Amino acid sequence: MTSPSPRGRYEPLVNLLVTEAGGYLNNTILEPGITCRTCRTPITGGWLRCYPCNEQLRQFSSRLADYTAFLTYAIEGTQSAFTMYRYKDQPPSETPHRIVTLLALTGLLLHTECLNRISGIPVTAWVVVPTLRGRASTHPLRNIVAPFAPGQEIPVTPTTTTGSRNTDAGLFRMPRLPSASHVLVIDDTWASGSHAQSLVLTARAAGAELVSVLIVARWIKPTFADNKRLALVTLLWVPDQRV
Amino acid sequence: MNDHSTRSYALSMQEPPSAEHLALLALLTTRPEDSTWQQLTTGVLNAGSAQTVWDSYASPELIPDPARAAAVERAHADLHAWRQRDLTFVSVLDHAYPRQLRDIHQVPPFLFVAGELVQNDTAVSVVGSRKASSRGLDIAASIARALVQRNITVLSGLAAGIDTAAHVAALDEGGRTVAIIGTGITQYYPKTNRQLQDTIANKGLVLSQFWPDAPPTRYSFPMRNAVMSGYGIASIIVEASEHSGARIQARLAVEHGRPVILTDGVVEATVWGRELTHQPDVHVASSTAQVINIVTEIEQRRAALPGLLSALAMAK
Repeated sequence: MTSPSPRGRYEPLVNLLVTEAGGYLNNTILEPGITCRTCRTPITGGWLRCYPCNEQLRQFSSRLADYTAFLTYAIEGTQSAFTMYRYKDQPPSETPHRIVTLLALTGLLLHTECLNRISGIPVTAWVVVPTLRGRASTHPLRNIVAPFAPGQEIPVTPTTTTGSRNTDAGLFRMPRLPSASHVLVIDDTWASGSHAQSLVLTARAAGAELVSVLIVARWIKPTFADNKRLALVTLLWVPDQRV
Repeated sequence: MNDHSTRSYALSMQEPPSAEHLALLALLTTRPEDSTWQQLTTGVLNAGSAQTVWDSYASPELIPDPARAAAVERAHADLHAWRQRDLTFVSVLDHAYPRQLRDIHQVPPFLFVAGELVQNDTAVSVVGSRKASSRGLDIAASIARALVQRNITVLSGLAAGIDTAAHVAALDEGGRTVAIIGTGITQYYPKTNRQLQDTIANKGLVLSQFWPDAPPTRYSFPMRNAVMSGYGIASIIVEASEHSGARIQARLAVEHGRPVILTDGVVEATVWGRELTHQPDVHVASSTAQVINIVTEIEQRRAALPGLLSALAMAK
């Protein structure tokens, strides 16, 4: 593998993703005043962020994620959301698992290099947000990203199994991190962002210097008034869009 | 390759109805909280159990809701009656259920089955107009025969015209053909295809996602097209007009991330055909040989991912 540009190296992966899922998946949009700066959900009223992200920011300010990246939208009631449910099936549902694999790896491989460049500190460790509901088992996303994720995996345990929706550093336990750590928090879906941002706070409390978040799909409920705006935004697949 | 080893199983008359089947039917007939079938089916798949979902709607009061008990009673009676009539009911959670249908968001909660269910059935839809030209019928038959020669199941909708030509050619060639119909499993539409439907049930497979005696409606055919798109690895649109149902299948296939192959005739004759060519994984073919080349590429591409991933993992 001597290809000079990362895009060139990962081209077959990107092409496969566009071919097999470009008909129903869209890139997320980062557009001031149109989508939330933190989570890419459509917004109105000239705000920079959606209400939940604004509230989190008010409460936790700079302890929240330094960088966030979202690969696609999962729109409830459509193929995109259904794919995000089905990839977790046991035994695995072949096509959904394949598409989430392509999404996660495209994001991981392309975005990490970009993240390293803009943040100035290369990612040193990663963690997949553990489930907070029911049985503790290996997260299917963890198995997908493990061979490709940058740096060391951080062992994390949830402290609750009640499916809490609070943003709280205490939802997870994590060992003390080495100095100058840049942690990449990875999750499959972001609805309110409380789980991912809670784990960001946990990492911060454990000594992380930078914490970035990579999310496969921003969950969208199309009944929310804001999300009607999604239809106004032309969603086009732009394969080389970056963080 | 088709795996013919896993046959569907018919439940014996003595066996009590499964609690999962009862719960699923009760959910579908009562539709708690005005849920759609699609929402209920997604919930059932997420929970891995219809009973869990059914129980989650039970009120915490001490006195059980008589309507809920009645729904389970009715499900009992329905399952019993279907068995008496020798109708095979398969739920979305059953092993025999075609698992590729669980990939699409319009996954039917149940199917009625006549014929042989085969797991990992590699099928391709061959669909098009009811009022087809003789050239269109020839193309459909030619494509169906070529698919059979590659051991690929010919999937269609048992409508007049292109669908019929595809089914008949597949049978003539000694291949497997699957019909996904827009009515209940006991109905024949069009009536002229009665014999063909019975033949396919004997030699291949007929599937219906509707109640057994359901007549055709304007909604049932597009619903059926979604299931056809989901069952196959690709959809071939042989001949179509500006407003034919094949157009719906092509659009649904794109939304499912399934490849579409349009004949050049469809692209020349329709605005939607031309527009669809800009979508990912939509191909245009001007001969049967080209169709087969594209199908082969699709099969190879599906097999290529693991190699690609291990190469990337090693390069890390």
